[in-house]
Amino acid sequence: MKKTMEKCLKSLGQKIICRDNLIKCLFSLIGFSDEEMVQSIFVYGHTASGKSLVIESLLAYLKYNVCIINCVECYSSKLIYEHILNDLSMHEMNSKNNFTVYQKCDNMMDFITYLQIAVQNDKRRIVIVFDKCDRLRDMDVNLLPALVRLRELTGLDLCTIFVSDIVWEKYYSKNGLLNPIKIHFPQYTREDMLKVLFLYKPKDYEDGFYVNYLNLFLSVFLRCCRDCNELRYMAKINFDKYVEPVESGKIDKNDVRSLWRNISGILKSNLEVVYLRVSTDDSEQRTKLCQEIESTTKLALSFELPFYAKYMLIAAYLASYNPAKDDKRLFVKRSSKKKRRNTVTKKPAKLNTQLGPKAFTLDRMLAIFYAILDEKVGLTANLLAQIPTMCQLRLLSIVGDNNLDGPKYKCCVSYDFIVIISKTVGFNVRNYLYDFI
Amino acid sequence: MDNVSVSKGVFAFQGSYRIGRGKKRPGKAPLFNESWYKAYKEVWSTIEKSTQKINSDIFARISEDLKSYVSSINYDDLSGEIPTAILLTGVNLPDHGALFQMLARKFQDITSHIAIMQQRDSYSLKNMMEETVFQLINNSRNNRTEIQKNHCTSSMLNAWYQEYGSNTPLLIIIPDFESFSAEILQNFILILSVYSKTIKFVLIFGVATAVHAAHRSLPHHVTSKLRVQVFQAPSQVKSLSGVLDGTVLSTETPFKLTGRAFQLLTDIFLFYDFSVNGFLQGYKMCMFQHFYGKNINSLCCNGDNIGSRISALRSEDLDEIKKLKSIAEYVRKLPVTKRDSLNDEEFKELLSTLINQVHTFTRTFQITLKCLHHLTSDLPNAPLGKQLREVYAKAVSCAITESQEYKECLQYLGFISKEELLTKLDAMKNIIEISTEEKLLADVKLDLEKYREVIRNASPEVTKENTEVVDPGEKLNRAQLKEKLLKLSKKHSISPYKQAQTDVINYLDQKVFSIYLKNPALLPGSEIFFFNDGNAVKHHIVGSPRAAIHTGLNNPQAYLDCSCCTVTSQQPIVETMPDLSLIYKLHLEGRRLINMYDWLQSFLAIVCPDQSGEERREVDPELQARFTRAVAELQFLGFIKSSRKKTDHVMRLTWGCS
Ligand SMILES: Nc1ncnc2c1ncn2[C@@H]1O[C@H](COP(=O)(O)OP(=O)(O)O)[C@@H](O)[C@H]1O
Ligand SMILES: [Mg+2]
Repeated sequence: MKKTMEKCLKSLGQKIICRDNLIKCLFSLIGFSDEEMVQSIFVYGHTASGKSLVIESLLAYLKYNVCIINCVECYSSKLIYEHILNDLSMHEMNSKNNFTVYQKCDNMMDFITYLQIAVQNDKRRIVIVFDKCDRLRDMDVNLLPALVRLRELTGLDLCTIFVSDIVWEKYYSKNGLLNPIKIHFPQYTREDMLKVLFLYKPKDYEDGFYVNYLNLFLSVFLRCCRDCNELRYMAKINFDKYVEPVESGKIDKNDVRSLWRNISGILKSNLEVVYLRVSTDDSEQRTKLCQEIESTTKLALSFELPFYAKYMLIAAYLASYNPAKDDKRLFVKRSSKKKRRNTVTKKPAKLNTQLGPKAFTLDRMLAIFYAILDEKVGLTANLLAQIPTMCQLRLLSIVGDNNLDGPKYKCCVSYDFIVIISKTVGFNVRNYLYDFI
Repeated sequence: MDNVSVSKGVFAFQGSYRIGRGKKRPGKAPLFNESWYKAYKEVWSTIEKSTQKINSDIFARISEDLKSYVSSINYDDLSGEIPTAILLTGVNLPDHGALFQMLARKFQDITSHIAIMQQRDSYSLKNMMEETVFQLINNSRNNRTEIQKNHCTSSMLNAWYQEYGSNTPLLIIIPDFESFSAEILQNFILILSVYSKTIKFVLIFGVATAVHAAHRSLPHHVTSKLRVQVFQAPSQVKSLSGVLDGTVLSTETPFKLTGRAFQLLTDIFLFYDFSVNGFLQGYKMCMFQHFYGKNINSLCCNGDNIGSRISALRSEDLDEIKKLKSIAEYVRKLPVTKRDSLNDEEFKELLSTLINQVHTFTRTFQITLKCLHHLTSDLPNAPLGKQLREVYAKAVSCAITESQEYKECLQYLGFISKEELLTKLDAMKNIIEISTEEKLLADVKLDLEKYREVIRNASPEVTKENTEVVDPGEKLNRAQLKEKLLKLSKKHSISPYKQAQTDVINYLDQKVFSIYLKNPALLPGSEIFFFNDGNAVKHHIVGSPRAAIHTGLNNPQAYLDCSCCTVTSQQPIVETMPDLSLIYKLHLEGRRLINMYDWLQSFLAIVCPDQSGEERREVDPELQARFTRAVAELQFLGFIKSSRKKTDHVMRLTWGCS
């Protein structure tokens, strides 16, 4: 092993742990000044497995001419080109140049030329990192294949690194693609995770105390979440609760058992709000909110819809989940209930309500609306205006291109939801659902 | 043909017309000087003022909360998340624009960099990004840069912020979260989060439905980029109550909405759209209808200058007033001698007293109504309704004190406990005190105080000691004894509190409600102040496009006002009708698919009936053209469309009109 590499490892090791092998591997591909860099590298692994951290620290250490691009942010190839040129030419946008880019550029040919000009006087090696590079697939077809062999095309001392959470196989396209060197960032094991989280220990606590806490914490959380960012956040907010009794003197800080009893409930309830960063300090409130998000009942009751809108929604639901040919039988008032029972003999194996909504025409929905509504209301503009409103609220959705002659809709709410809505207006949907009669 | 020139010259000809000269500045239309218009204007401006105040009151809390949230964000606490306020706005979409404009105005003193995103600007990520950055940069007052919209990118924003941002937060408001495409929003948030370390963003999402909506459309890795705080805007029904309190139910506005008209507006609100703004527009429409062209309604004003208004009336107006139902009734009941000698001057005098009477009455009516509402709103099942508007609707449409519900309420009141009754009485007293018309009901207030005192001191226990005992020595026959015992038992079972309670209820019923809550419509001169013609405004505010088109086509006379096309049930089709109308009527007779050829034949049979009977193979091209055009128009109106199933047929698209 060469000296330069060792030095690098030592320097990065202060910040990054458990990734020595990967750092070595990357270093050997681009780090030795007497060896040529590889043309392109593909780095993949789960979210928050330290990809960005490792690559960015390494490049900062190597002091290359670096450009790091977030492909979500640069949503078109033009933005990518301009961003790269900006970064590599050390161009700064400011009021003097009226915040313009270094060079406007919107195709690969120009880009290569401009790139060559931009770095003419800069002897440093160039590395371009494409983070979230899966987005590149949706841009110009030639973009990804060309970027993979950018060194070849520009003749510069350059390496492109692609970073993604998905495997390279998903990038294959019809036009063919040069395979870069692949590096996988494996998920952290429990021990690794503990070490990583330990790195972010709050200052004024003893090591042992915090390790104890992390052990308890991971025993609950690691089962459902391996995202390092999320765990860091959760560890932080739960730790405040953990130390509370210690601070107030209620529990001795070595009494792990009591501490566990105290925290386990909180941990478990917070487990439900992973990824949900609600800024209330009150964990009770947080769980309440969480339940609200989960429960359809709460959701439906929190909906304040005008009276006719509710009926309209019910009509839409019925239209979506009943076969059209049975409308007459279901909604024409005269047919008695008894007769209904008799006629139904065979049922399809799968229930309509489980198959998802079917599209219906506006006329059909209005007809059902008038059939289930006891009052007589005119077909007024106010009534019709409810339909686009409900589309906007995502209760209905328009199917297909907006055909003016016969628009079609689907109802997007669930059975439980509609049951609750119809209860508020005193209507029993089950009586009108094909599946239940 | 070679000597024919195909070129045609256009030569300028200097006429006398000059652009701009033809238009005269429209002088003030005579409308502005009409007295009814002035009265209308005055009343509307009071209403407008009070609704503005109400609106800012209603939203004051929520905007204060949001403001303190935004200004108290500590960016060091956040580990790279974007602080996000989710504002649950409720589904009254028509009002949201105003709400968010107001919020944006309130935020001006925290930051001048505010972007309000509309759905129309956000059909792609590129658009949304450019629009946001553009608004953030250009909305600021100290706008030193001039940047084209298509240069706006996130990295540019970053560069700009480092130079000019001076660490103030950048506020991005998305008023209707649901209408945005989830995918675009996700990417948008991800982009913002890239810069969350260097730029202070604050997001405000207006969510019409529930927090759920936000979480349903954003995946976990996006929600974890946001630090969410939820705020709840006041519910729609509440804000309606607020607006009603300030307009219809306030003593400040002389114009009163009653009966059908009031019912119509509240129904539209509750049943259709929950829009407070829509309600106000409807209210305005009612006022138009009430005031327009009616000079006598200029008397509808607050008492002060009623004298001058009355003296400004012409004698035609006075005649008009005399024809008002309630006034005619009143005059008829006057003693004959007085009635005969009623000249204009005297009538004006009389009118002035009558109008003052209406004024006083409506004021006491409003206050007493509030008292009644307070007294009854929390009784079991609230027979008179939980909301003031329900009591109001009842009281202005009939004699409320004679209604079954009212009697039920009085019964319930007989059962409530002492504490409850005391608080209710206190509240009533309070209502009278805070109203500006305190002196009108001063004696009621005094009486209430007296009753209150009595009730407070009355014990709920039945007094034990009997002053009168049945003396066994006394000679009484059976009937006498029975009577006496009955009397005694009655006396005993009623505690002082019970007695006082009955007294106060009787007092309120007979001396307060029965007097002050008479149906105001019966008052002479009430027509000037009260508007109840729901049907007149219904046409204007409840559009029914299909019905209108149907009437237009079915009975063109309704709109054309011609003398020729009179339709009767025997003869629904007249040949003078417009072609479109004929075609429409014929199509109503058809089934789902209409054969074009048959249709043409029936059309011909109507427009030139002379050679009826036989089938016409040779069709006059002019008639055919008329037919074709009418069919095309019908298609344009959306009644039919061509069908792919049968080439020479068209399909009907409507149902149930025939
Ligand atoms: N090996 C590690 N040592 C120290 N911190 C780590 C390590 N792995 C992950 N982290 C923490 O997790 C965060 C997320 O890592 P990141 O490199 O952004 O993940 P990725 O790019 O793979 O999604 C880092 O900012 C760092 O705080
Ligand atoms: Mg990363």
